[in-house]
Amino acid sequence: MLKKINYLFFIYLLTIFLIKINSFSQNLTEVFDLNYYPDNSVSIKAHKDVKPELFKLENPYRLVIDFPYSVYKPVKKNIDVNNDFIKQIRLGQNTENSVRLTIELKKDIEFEYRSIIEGNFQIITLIPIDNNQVINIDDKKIKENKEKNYLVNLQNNKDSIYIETTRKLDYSTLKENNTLIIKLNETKNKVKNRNIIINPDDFFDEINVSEEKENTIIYISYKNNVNLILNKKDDYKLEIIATAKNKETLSLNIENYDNIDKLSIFNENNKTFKYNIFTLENPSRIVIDIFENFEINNIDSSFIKNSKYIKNMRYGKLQNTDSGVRIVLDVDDNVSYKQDINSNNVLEVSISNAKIKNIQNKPKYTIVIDPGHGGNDPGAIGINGIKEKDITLKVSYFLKDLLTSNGFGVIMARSDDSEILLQPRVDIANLNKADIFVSIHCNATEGQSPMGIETYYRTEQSILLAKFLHKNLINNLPTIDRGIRVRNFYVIKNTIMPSVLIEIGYITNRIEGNRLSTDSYQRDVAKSIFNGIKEYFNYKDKL
Amino acid sequence: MRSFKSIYFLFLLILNIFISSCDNLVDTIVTLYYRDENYMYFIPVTTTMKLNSSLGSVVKEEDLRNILEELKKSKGDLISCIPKSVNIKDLKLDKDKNLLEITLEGNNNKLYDTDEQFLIGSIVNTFTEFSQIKNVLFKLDKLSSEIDYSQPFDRKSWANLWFSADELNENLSLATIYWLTKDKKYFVPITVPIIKNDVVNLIEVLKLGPNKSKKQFLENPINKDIDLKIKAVNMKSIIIEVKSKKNLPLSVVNTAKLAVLYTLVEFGFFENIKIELSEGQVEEFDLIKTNPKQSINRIELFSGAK
Repeated sequence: MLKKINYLFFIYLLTIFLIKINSFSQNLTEVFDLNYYPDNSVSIKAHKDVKPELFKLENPYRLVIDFPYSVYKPVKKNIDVNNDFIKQIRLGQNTENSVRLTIELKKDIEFEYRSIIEGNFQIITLIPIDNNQVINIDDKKIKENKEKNYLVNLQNNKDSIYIETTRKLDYSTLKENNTLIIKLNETKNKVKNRNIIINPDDFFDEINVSEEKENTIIYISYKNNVNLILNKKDDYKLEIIATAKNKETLSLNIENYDNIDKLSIFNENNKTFKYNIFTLENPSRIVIDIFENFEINNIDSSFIKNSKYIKNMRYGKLQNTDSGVRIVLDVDDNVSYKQDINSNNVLEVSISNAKIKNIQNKPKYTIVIDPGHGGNDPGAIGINGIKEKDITLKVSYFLKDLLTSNGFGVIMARSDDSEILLQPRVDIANLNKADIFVSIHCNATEGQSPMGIETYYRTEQSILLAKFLHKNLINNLPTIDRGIRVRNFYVIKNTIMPSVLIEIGYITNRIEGNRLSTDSYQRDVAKSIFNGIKEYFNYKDKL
Repeated sequence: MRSFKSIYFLFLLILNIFISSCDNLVDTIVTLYYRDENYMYFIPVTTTMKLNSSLGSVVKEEDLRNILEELKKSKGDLISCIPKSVNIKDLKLDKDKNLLEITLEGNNNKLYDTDEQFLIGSIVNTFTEFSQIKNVLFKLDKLSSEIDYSQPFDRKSWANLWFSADELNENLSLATIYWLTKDKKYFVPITVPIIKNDVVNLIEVLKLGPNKSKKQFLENPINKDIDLKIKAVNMKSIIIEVKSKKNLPLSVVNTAKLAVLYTLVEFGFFENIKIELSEGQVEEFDLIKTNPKQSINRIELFSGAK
């Protein structure tokens, strides 16, 4: 009986052992083939699923690559290089399940990292970057390697196709009927995943890849009602975006009266549309942005000839938006415009010879104030139903009054209770070459609410502005300092001048919400921002 | 008896095949990020979850979904950053690019600014703890936002980082130190300006404790009666003294020790840390073999404890 139990126990142990072996083999893979070449490049092989982690250390300078969940069977390997750049290369088991490659450097040099998949393995090559011609690299060899080892990746979804390569894209395109032809130069047999699956409801009909001499030709046929946009994201990635063709049209009409040129803009179905109008100088222009996916009916140019103040009119796609139209009127200097929407939803822009601004009193600094939210977008709703959009507009106007009465130029990114998208707010600042951009918001939370002020910036050039504004707000208002923070809010990320977004307080907090509802506190907030702006420009002037 | 033996052997064989074919569920330490009651910072807590495993780490979308489910639940004073009004509609892991894509779905509402930042930061911080995820790209469905979501976020962009006006300067060098929550229950990583790569300055900043704008939200883990000084340092190792000047309770000394340890681990320079607590009592940490941060703010899961 004991013999039988022993026998069964042995089988049980064997089973457990087999399971463990199975599990272990899934967890660890091997790193091998460490090589150093005379051009200072280093190569090593690892399993393709391993994600190496690279980092640099100083004192002494070291480039370190960790291979997680890997083993190095000989446990340790050192290559003593000791040339002008590399002291030693070390490979070894770092932890039980991690291998570390350390390249000890004699100076701080950068490396180019390349990974090529071969079957189940990846070959990683590290090549020093020849910054100041200090390293003797065989350029030809590197170039040849690059040529040999890159791949083109093709990916698609319903409304876009990506072409991505590991070397710089070299391509030309041609549109024929409903087919876009892309020629990728010298990419023969480099395109992987050629069999692209297209669903019937996609914007694309078919994607074919073929070779012609040394080149790859990609044929993308698309549906009738589709517009294609080529977006070169960077040197390595091309995006082909499909959008549905515009259905509705926008008509423009110009009427000429004695002292007024009137431009009427209307949709054929009398549909309402979102828009924004602003002026630009040098040369003088009136810009009308329409935030809808309309096509513009061609306009009879004779209307322009008869115009008194409009010299020319252009229109095109509104940049950086999915849809939208920008109409630009080149106008005489010192004309002004009035806008009105009549009962048929026709936008009428009347241009007359009243002066826009006195050029002689042009201010030294122009500030764009951006009151957050507006129109159908109320922003956060605070205690007693107060709306963020109302408070930001009121504070902005108090700030504008203070600035203009002290000789600053002010442009309001939103001047009334209308909904302005984020990109047009950015455009107003960028196109007017504003000196600074100040976006005003109120903070809010869903649950129990904190209080305090936060100032956000995004770019290094905005640090000083954030510092001066925040200091004044915190020193002058009875609130809590929640700090200056970095965050990529759209408006401060995309404006090209120093820009900040200020959260002037929590409207969901009972105390702060009540304060923010009062004119006197709104004036105090505006005063603090004004003092910060004044200090900022005083400081800049002294530099 | 012979037939019994054969059946038993067959049973074990089938059991073996069955176990081998199942996914490997392994105990995995995960770090989840919650927020404090003032919406000021993220609090990391470590816990153990049973997860599918490949190459010893979390790479399966199913695991990430399970972690998100756990992250949705507040645990006492650890408050979840994922609002109830937001649904995680889709989650895709691109292993080649170390990129996680998450689609958040609302109900045509707007997320409040602070709620939105904690939602995004908590997810980014939690998932970028895994070496396979370096960036998280968010897509919003039926949600409007003031934030630019066109690019993926890395871990650095959601650190506990805020400056008072006198701290903020151009060309700052930043490092992370560990202070305590106001109730002294949890360690919090806070990114602060220091002199570049200067470990002496790092320890000074840690010891000094939160300054005026941070003081209202954080506590100093280094008691004023603790002597904290660097005894020796080289490129790979550091010996640091954390000694009680008076007869302080052990827990106070231990808190100081952990704050120093976590801070030095995060500093990333050293492979070996020795902490001298009293004459002859030295604790040594070999960072090549262990990661002390894997036990920071350790909790057991209330629900779904696996």
